[in-house]
Amino acid sequence: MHNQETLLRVEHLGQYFKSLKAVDDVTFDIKKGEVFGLVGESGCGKTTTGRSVIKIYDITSGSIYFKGQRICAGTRSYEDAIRNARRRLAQMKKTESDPAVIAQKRAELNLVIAENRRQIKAARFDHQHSDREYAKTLIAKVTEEYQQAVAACNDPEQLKELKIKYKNDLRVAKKTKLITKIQMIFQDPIASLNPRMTVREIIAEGLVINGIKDQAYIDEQVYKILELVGLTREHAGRYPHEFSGGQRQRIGIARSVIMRPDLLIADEPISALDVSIQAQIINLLNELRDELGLTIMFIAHDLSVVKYFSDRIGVMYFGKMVELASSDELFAHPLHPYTKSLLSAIPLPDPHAEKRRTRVSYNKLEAHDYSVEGPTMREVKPGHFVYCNTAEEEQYKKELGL
Amino acid sequence: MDKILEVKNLRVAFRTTNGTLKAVRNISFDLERGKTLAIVGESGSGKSVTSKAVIGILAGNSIVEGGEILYDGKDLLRISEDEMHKIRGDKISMIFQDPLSSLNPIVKIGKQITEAMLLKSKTNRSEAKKVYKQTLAELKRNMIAAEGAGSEAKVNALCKQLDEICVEATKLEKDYTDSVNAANELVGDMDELIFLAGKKQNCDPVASVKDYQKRMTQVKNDRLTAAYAQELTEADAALATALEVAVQAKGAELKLPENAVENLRKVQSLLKEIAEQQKPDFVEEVSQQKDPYFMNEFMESATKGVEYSFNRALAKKKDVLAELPALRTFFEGDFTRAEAQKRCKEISSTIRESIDRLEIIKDSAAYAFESSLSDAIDRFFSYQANNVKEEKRFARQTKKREALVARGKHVEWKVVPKNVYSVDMLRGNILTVVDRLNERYTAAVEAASQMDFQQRAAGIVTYLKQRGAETVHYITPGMAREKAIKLMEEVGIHEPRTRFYQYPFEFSGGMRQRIVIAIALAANPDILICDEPTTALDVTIQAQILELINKLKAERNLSVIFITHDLGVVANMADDIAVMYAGKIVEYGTADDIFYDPRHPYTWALLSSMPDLETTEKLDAIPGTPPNMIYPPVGDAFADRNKYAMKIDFEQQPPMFKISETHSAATWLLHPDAPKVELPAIITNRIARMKKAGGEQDA
Repeated sequence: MHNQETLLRVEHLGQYFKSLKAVDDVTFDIKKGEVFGLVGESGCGKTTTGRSVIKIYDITSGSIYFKGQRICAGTRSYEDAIRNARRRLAQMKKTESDPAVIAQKRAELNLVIAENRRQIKAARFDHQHSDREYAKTLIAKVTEEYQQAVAACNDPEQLKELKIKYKNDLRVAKKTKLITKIQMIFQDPIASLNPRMTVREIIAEGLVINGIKDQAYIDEQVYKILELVGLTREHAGRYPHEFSGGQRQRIGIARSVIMRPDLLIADEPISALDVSIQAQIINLLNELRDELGLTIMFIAHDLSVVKYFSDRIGVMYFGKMVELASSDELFAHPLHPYTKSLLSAIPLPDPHAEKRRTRVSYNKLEAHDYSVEGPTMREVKPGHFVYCNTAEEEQYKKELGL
Repeated sequence: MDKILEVKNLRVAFRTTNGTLKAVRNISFDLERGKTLAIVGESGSGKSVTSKAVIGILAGNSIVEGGEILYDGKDLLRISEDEMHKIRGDKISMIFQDPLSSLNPIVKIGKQITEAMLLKSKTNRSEAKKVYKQTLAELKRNMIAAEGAGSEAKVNALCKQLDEICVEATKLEKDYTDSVNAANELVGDMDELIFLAGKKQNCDPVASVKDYQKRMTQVKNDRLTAAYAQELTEADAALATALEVAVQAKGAELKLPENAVENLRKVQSLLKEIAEQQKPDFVEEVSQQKDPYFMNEFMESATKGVEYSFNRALAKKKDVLAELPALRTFFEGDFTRAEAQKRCKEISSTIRESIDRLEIIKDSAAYAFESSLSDAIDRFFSYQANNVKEEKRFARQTKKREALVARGKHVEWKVVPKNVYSVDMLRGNILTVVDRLNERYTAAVEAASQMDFQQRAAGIVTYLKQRGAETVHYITPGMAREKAIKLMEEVGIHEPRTRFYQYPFEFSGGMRQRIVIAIALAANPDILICDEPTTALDVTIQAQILELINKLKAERNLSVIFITHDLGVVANMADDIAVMYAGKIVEYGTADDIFYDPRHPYTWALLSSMPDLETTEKLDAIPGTPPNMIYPPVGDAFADRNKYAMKIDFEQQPPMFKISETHSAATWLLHPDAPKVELPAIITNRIARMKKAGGEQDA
C-alpha cells in the first residue's frame, strides 16, 4: 500500500522550554500512506513532537520538511556553531603566536560564521514564509489555468463565469496554507470542541477560514464528512454537549478530515474514551485511512493499540528517540533496554501469562556506559534504528544474530 | 470461605431533572477475605456507584431503593452517619481515580498521611475499652449461667482475676510500647540528623546528641535493662563519645564528624533491634507469674460459658426457624403497615436473643435483620403511596405532548415516566430478608454438631487480650511521622524523609498515586476499594502501581475491590471478576472463567474490542452507546447492541444461568432451547493462542 515517497521528514528536531529539553535531536521520517506510531511514557516529549510538526510551537533547532518543503526551522544549532567558532577564535589568539596561522584560522572560522548566519537567515525565512511560498505556487497554477481557459474560450457569457470562478479560486489559493495539509486530533474530545458552536460551524470552520463562501458547497461537504465518520445529517445542527464521548471524538475527526489533509496527527485520540468506543474510533481511523489515503502520526501510550494500528513505531524516552523500527520488528526484537522495559509492562488479557510476567525495570545510568563514547542513532538492521554507541551496536547485532 | 463483605440485591437510583436514573439494578456479590474482586464495565454501568454505596459517599440526589451491604454485623446502608464514620477510612478505604484531586494542594504530604492516625488515636482507644468491658461482662454472665446457681462467687473471682491480669499486662505493655516507640522515634531523629549533616545543612549536632542522651532514659525500662544491660551501657558510652566529638568539632564546622556518625549508627542498630523484636504475650506472662494454674482453670470455665451461650442461642435459632415460614406466608398475603411492623418487632426480639454474643465473626444477616426488615416494610408502603406532585407533572406533560402531536408536530422529547415500583419487587425485598435469615440459620443449625468449644473459648480470650492491648495504643505526632515514613517506604517512595515535607505538586503522577495509597493504608483497613487507580497513569507506572497493590494485598491480607474498564489490567489482579452493564452484573466468575471461557455477548464484545499484541483482525467494535438508564429497556439491556440478540432478549430479562460452581452469566444464549452460537473469531483465536503459550510454558 505504501510507497517509499517521504511525506514528512523531521531532522534533528529540538524543542527547548527554557532549560528543559522537551525534545532533543529527534530525527525520523514518515512515508506516504503509513501509520507512524510514537510511544513513550508521559512527559517524554511525544506530544511536543506532534505539536512542533503542526507549528503550535516554534521549534528551537532542527528542521521539518513536509512534501519536500521546509515548513519549520530552528536556529539554535547554528547559533551554537557561531558561538563555538567565536570561542575558538578567542582561544587561539591566546595560545597561537604565529600571525600567519592566526590569519588563516581566522579566515576559516569567519567562513564558518558566515555560512551559519546564512543558514539562520534561510531558516527564519522558511519558518515564516513557507505558507506564502506555497500560496504563490498555487496562485501561479490557478492563473495559468485561467489564462489557458480564457485563450480557449470565445463566448462572452462563459468568459464572465470563468472570471468569477477565477476570482474565487484565487482567493482560496491566496488563503491556503501548506500547514492546513497537516491536521490534528486532540486527546480530550470535550475540551477540544467549542461549546458555543454547532457541529456544522465547528466542522466548516476550516473551510470558511480558507476563503470558501459558497454556503451550499460548505453544507454539502459537512454532510458528506459527517456520514463518512458515522454520524448523520441531523447531527449538524446540534451542540457538542448533546453528544457522547465517542461521538465527540468523531466530530473532532470530521473537523480535521474535511480539510483533506495529507497528514493527520492523532494525539492520544482514544485515551479518554471507553473500551468499546475505543475500538469504534480505531476502526473509523482505519477506514478513513484507506478511503482518503491518509498518512497518520499516531501518538499513544497504550502499546497494544499502537502495535495493532501502526506500521512503524518510534519509542521516545526523555526527549530522545531511542528506537525506531517497523512494528512487528520492534515487538519481536526490542533492542534498547528502555523498549524492553516498556514492552514488559504491557498488561495482557491472559491471567496465566500475567502471573508469569516479570517486569524489567530501566535505569538510564545503570543500563548504559556512555563515559567513553556518547550514543547516536544507528541503523542496526535495515529499517531498525537504535540510539546507542559502538559497543552497544555490536552487542545488539549479536543479539539479532547478524 | 470467609466472606468479609456481602452486597445483596442492591438498587440505587438518582433523581435528575429528566426523571429517575436507575444506576444500579439489583446486584449481589460477595467479597472474600484476602481476595480481589474486579468490577469491569463501561462508564455509566454503575460500577463506581456500587463502590460509593459501600463506602457511604453516594451523591445527595441518590435513592437507595433496596438491598443490603453487610459488613461486620452491620448493614452499611442503614447505619447512622456517626457509625459509618467509624468504618469509612478505618475499616474500608478507597483510592480514587485522579490522585491530584484527592490530595490537598496546600498541605504537606506528611501531614496528610498522619492526619487520620492522629485524629483516630483517642477514639480507637476508648472504643477498644468499651468492647473489652462488654465482652468480659457477657462472658461472665454466660459462665455463671453455665456453672449453675451458687457458682457466682467463683466465677466473679475468676473474671476479676483475669481483669486484674489484663490490667497489669496492659501496664507492662504500655511501658514496653513506650520504650519501643521512643526507640523508633530516636532512630528516626538520628537518621534525620545524619541526613542533614551529610548535606551540610543547618543543624546543631551538640544539642541533638544531648537530647538523645536524655531520651535514652525513656527507652530504658526494667525489662530492657535486664535483657540488654551491656549493650545499653555501650550505647550510652557511644553517645557520650559522639557528644564529645561533636563538641570538639563545633568550632571548625557544622558537619557532623565521621566518628560521631559511626557512634550514632551503633546506638541506632541497638535501638532498631529493640524496636523490631517480637512483642511478648504479656497476659500469659503475668498469669504465669501470679498463678500458673489460673489460665487453665479460667479456660475450663470459659469453655463451659461459651458452650452454654452457643446452645442457648442454638435453641432460640430453632425457635426462629420454626416461626419463619409463618412470617413468610404473612408477608406473601395482604397486610397493613402497623401489622407488619408489629410482626417485625415480635420476631426481632426472638432473633436478638438467638444471636450468640460471644461470636467473634458476626453473622451479619441476623444482626441486620430488624433494620433491614423494617426498612423494607416502610419502603413497601411509601413507594406505593401516590405522589400527588408527581401525578400532576405527569398529567401536565402528557397533555402537552399529546396536544403537540395532535397538531401534527414532530415531538422529539419524551414524557418523563412516573416513578412506578412494582409491588412484586417491593414484596420481594421483604421476602429476601426473611429467606436469607432462614438459609443462614438452617446452615448454622446443621453445622452446630461440629463446634469446637475449646477453640472458640481460646478465640474469645485472645480477642479480649487484643482489645486490652489496644486500649494503650496511643499515637504522638512523632510516632505518627515514623509510621508514615515506614508506610511511604512500603509503597516505594525513595527518600521518604525529604518527601515527607514536600507538597503534592512536587510529586509526579505515579508518586502521587502512591501517596494516596499510603493514606488509604494508614488506618490499616480490612477492605480497599480501588476506583480506576491507574487510568490516569501510563503503562510503566501502571504496572508498578498494580504490582504494589498486589504486594500490599498479600502482606496485609487485604480484601480489594478493583474497579476498572480495562480487562487487560484485571487479568493480573483479580481472583473474581464481575462484568457490569447498565446497572446489572451480566457475568460473574473467576479470572480464568472470564478470560478463557467467556459466555456473555457483552464480555465477548469487551474482549474483542481491545487488541492484544498479536491481533491483526479487524476489531469487533460494539456498535452504538449504552442505553439511557432513565428509560431502562424491558428486556436485556445489551440487546440493542448485541448481534446475537434473539427475540426474547427484547422482551424479557434473562436470569443468571449457572455454568459452574464459580461461573454464571445472564444471557438467554445459555438457555437449553437457545441456538448454538459461535464465539467471535478474534476471541477463539486469542484463547487458542493463550492456551498454546500456557502449554509451552508448562512443558
